[in-house]
Amino acid sequence: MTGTHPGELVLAIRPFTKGLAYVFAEGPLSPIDWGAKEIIGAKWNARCFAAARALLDHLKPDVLVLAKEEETARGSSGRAQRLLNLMANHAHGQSIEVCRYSRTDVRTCFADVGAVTRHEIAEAIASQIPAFAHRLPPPRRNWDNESPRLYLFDAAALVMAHYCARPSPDID
Amino acid sequence: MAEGSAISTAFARWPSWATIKIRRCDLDIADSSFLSMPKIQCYVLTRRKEWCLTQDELAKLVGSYREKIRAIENGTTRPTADELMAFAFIFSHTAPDLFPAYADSVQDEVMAAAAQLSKKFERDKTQKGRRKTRLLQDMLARVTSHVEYV
Repeated sequence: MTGTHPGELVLAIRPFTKGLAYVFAEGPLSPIDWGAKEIIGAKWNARCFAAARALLDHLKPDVLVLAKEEETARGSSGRAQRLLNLMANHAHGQSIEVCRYSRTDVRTCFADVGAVTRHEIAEAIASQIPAFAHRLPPPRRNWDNESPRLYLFDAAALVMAHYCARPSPDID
Repeated sequence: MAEGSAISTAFARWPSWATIKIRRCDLDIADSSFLSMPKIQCYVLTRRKEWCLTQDELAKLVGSYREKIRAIENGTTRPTADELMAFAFIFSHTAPDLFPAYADSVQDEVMAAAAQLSKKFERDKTQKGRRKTRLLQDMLARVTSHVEYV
């Protein structure tokens, strides 16, 4: 079976250098809970994993959606890859299905609306989900750091990529 | 066939309304796309975050306190009638939309009581009795309108 079940609860977690962004949803446009947990300093991996585990235990999703390893490892790291593997392994242990989507999958999902860059994808999400609209960061200038808020949209994009890849039988 | 006997036959299919719950669960296991119980206890957290409110701010709006809001969001306690009305007004959503699991459990209790009353109303052949039976029929139709038993 490739389709999502109606009411399937999906949790997307997107780790970044200063913590974790997550979106918990029951449909492509129906987020239930979302946010970012700031985690900086020593033992980043262990603390991020503990935060992810707490999210999985509290929210009890049916599916955990993660970015594909090679796509997350931009710049730094095996560290992020190890964290994703830890999360996936924990989810498997809890009988939670794990799905991984690459940036190509996400871009394919948003190709129809003409969104290619991360910011364009974030804008497309903000226009569809009013709850996220006020969190849209301004476009990044070359000398600016990445806004942590953009990672929330990365997580939302993973959720949408999941529903795009496995559409519900109810959704045309 | 009299209205009374029709509804009692309908209720007789499920001697106790609680049986419906078991059937729903069975159906869920067999084919979860057929019918699903609400997995989310309440949507207060979702609506609160949608409007960027803190638990403290929402508590002030509702006339409650932060710990109660947290407990309601976690599904460990139920809102009072005042809080329920306040949530519905604040977020412009109906109570069953905000608390689907709570609404389902209340509905099950009401239908269990209706099943008991239907036996009494069945024997009442007066105008009033038929009117009451009609109400129970409507209730049953509303509950089963989204359910197709095979």
